[in-house]
Amino acid sequence: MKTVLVAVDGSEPSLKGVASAIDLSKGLGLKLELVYVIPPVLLPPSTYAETIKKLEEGNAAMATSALEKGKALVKAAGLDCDLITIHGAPAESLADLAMAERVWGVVIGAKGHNAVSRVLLGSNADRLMHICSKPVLIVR
Amino acid sequence: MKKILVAVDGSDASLKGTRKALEWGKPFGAAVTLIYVVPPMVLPGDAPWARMDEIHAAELKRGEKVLAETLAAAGETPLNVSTRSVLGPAAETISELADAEGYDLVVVGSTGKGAVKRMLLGSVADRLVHTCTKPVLVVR
Repeated sequence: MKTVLVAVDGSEPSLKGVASAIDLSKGLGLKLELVYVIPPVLLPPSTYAETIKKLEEGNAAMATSALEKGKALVKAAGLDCDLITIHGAPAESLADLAMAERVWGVVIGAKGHNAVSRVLLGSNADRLMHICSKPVLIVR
Repeated sequence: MKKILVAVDGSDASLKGTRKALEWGKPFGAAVTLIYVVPPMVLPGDAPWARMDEIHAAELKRGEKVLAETLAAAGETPLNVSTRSVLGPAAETISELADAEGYDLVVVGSTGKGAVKRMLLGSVADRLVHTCTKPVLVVR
């Protein structure tokens, strides 16, 4: 049974992506994996360890909240899913994960939380399409 | 997922896209339309206009042949499948059509005939994901 990866950052387009992935999962009999990517943060070396710790806790909380939002949608549709949190550059990490044998393709919202509002396609979706070796579904 | 539009240009990637669209459309009983777009010729100002219309007509005819070949190569097509070939700038024409005729999904191969080999994403696919307001599936 193949898996469809869904990039989730809690944004509206990413939750639409979850909805599309649910359709896909029902239609094609695919397993669902919701993925949250925590991007690396560059901090000056003088940053207090306490600050870094707070930042990491904040990131983990955001990841959990975003993934739970996605999972709620999946549960509401009567399906189940795995939740994955990875660290790294978002597009590159997703492309790496998508190379696994089990992966059918990746679903990603056209723009997430970081995108400039005037562009139709966010930088992560754009980058992912350029580098991913599996099919990529862009959802708006 | 009722209406799926597939961009076809006779390349391997577009054949893969067609297969994916048929595979995906099947469980949803979707109507799949294969579209071939002929970009308008740019000729020097003193070129005879009658000749240009002839070229376009010939290209559109070639498009119909490519569509038929793609459909044949895609194998079994139990779905409601139709084909059309139109004249216009490729990505923009497909985006506008998808919007105007209410398609639920647009499928495009990552690199078509015109793409530079080393690039992973062709210019039409790239432009399409940037302009299309509907979900886009990019297939490799």
